[in-house]
Amino acid sequence: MKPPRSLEPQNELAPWLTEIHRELDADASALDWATQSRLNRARQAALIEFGRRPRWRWPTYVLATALSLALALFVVPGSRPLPPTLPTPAAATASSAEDFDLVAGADNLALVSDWEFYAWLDSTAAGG
Amino acid sequence: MNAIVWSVNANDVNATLATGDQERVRKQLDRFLKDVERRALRMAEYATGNRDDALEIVQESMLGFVRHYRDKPGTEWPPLFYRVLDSKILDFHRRNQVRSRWFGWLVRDSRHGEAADDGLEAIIDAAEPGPYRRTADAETGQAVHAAIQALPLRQRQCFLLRVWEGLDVAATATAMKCSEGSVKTHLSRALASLKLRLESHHETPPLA
Repeated sequence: MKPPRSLEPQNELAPWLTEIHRELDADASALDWATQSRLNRARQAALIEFGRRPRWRWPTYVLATALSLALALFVVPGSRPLPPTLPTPAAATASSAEDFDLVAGADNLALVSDWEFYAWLDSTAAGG
Repeated sequence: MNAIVWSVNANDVNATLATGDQERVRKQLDRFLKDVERRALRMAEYATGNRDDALEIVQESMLGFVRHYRDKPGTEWPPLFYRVLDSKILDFHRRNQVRSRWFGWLVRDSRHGEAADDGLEAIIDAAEPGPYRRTADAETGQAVHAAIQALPLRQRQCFLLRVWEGLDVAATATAMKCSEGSVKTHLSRALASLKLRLESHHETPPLA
């Protein structure tokens, strides 16, 4: 146990502080086995936590900003450059995905409501 | 052949050094926590009046300390650990205050007093002292614990950190997240209160 410190400038109080210190030490050392066991488990849990890799933590606002930017890039219309060539069959899948993103945007209510019209338009264009 | 073995071993040496440092720090951490855990428990028990709550606070403090301050040098561990402990104790009191404010008409909680007008500093814990094994002078021991228990929360924390744990003023201020002036004020008031309460059990004459 640590020896008691003398507290400047109250050196004259040291004797009774020493007695308090001794009593506190005696009390702390007299723990029952159940309590000692729980303290030991708590300490072991902390040591296990120490052994883990430090969690990679980013501030919440950084994550929120990054997520907002990602959504803006993929959802906002016109945020992507026009393709330099006509869409190929291989790109049709990607194009369909982009169309889905456009439709899924909450601002494109008119597009959603006229979905059947555009689907019909698409089918007539393909057949004609 | 030897060159290949050396290059492989060099990588292993670096890994071993890192692992060795990790293990060394881990052992230091184990020794440190073993040294502080009992005092931390008693501090939390004084603050909560309940051993189970105190044990939970100590466990949370150990985990919080490791998570937030694992990379700090060992010399800074004591004030940082008690900073976490102090925060957990204050959180406990805040939760209880909110709970008693909302549900106090349902459950009478006689363990915790109400905050005075000047906030946390004047919180008096009305908890009954728990069971202690007594030294030869049982009456003095009981008086000591009752006197410490009767201190307002911040004064008691300051007293225990300065006198029992042995932190200096700066470290105590770090632990309690207050100024050094506040530490001196808290300690001065705590000593005055304790002296008043314990005067009948000591032969030391009062200060002139």
